[in-house]
Amino acid sequence: MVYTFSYAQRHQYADAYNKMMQARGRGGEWYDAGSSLLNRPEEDVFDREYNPLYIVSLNEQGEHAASLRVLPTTGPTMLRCDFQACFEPCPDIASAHVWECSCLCGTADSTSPAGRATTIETSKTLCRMALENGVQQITGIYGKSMMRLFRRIGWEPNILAQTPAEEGALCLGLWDVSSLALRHMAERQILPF
Amino acid sequence: MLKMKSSSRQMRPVALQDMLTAITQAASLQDLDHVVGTLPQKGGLFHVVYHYLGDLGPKVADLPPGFATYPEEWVTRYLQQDYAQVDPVVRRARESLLPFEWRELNVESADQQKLLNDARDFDLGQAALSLPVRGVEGQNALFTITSTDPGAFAGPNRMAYVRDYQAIGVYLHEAFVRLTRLAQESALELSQQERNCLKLAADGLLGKDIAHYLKLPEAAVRLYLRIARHKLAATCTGSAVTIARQQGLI
Repeated sequence: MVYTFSYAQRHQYADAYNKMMQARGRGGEWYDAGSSLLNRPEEDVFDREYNPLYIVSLNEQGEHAASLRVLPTTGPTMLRCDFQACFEPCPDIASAHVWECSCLCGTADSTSPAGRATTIETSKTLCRMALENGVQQITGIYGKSMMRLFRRIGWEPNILAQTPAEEGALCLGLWDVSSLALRHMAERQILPF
Repeated sequence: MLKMKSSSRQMRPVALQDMLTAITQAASLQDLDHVVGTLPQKGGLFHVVYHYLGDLGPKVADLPPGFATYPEEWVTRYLQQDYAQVDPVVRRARESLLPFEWRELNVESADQQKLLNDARDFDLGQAALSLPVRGVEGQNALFTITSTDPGAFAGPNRMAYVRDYQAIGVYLHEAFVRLTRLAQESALELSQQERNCLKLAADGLLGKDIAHYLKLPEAAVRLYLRIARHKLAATCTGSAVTIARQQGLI
């Protein structure tokens, strides 16, 4: 089951919100545990001050499977506020048609069909929501090791910039929002292996 | 009062570019108010409203928190009754960054019902689409467009309206906070990548050719051109090239 809500609405979705925060705190498959730059507190200033959108997927047992956070790039973003110095050169991404996706967290086993399907449901929801609301591209910062996950779900980002490996190998990625991307993910979702 | 008949057509690109240029070049709140006043006719809409949702602060507290083409009597009543405190439209805008139609909202209190009953005395439109806006320093605002066509913002039309008017809302907001000094005016400079992409576009290269020349992914070229268009308040790359040349940026 996929839940979409904002920070202001978190009390109405308390179970999903709490499980997302617990997963963030534990660090799921998607969180690059080796990157100190991404070890963020469970609730940070972007949650409290800028009312982001969350997409949270819970599996059939009601456990956290995947989650992410969305902010418009016309406002404060993690890239502009916290990570500008990490990437050289760093683009100042601002557009009414670009979102920033952050706090990507997955605890489902994306190598299994069931786990992959649940994980893909989160990314499909993001893509669909972006399409419906005129957003054409999505950026995000993630550990380089997450690329294998993005390949599994069928929505790979283009790398705009990355930090040196010795600094934790963070990538600034860019996803194209399109109905084709939705279709690719849908095809991956029903793969039996 | 003569009622304007709106249609479901979107604004033509030239008209949209003229609108963005007028907004970004507005030298005063009066200028901006005038520009907003021309929006409904140019966009085939009934009314438009820009509503700043932040704290105006002591220096500009006497100013209205935005602009509206609504009947002046309704605007006065709305402000006098402080309807923003109970308005379900404002409440929804504070809750979520996603655009929404007014028909999605529920009336949850007697105060909200009173507001709606009052509003019925004035013809605000048969359909309305509200677009939450987020500013670079985190301020919130709301940009609303209405139509006399109940289905104006439904179905496939919605995406085009959201795409065009979200951008207008962002520029209106930036102009408002600039003119009221609620935010620092920042000079938007083109980065080297943005200039490179724009120069090659000015030479007539297509996106895939620019990508090949600069050894970038095509998606990155699209992004840099999109950012350049945003910074230059351009609706298309051609306009961005023209504006960049006029400003001596390329």
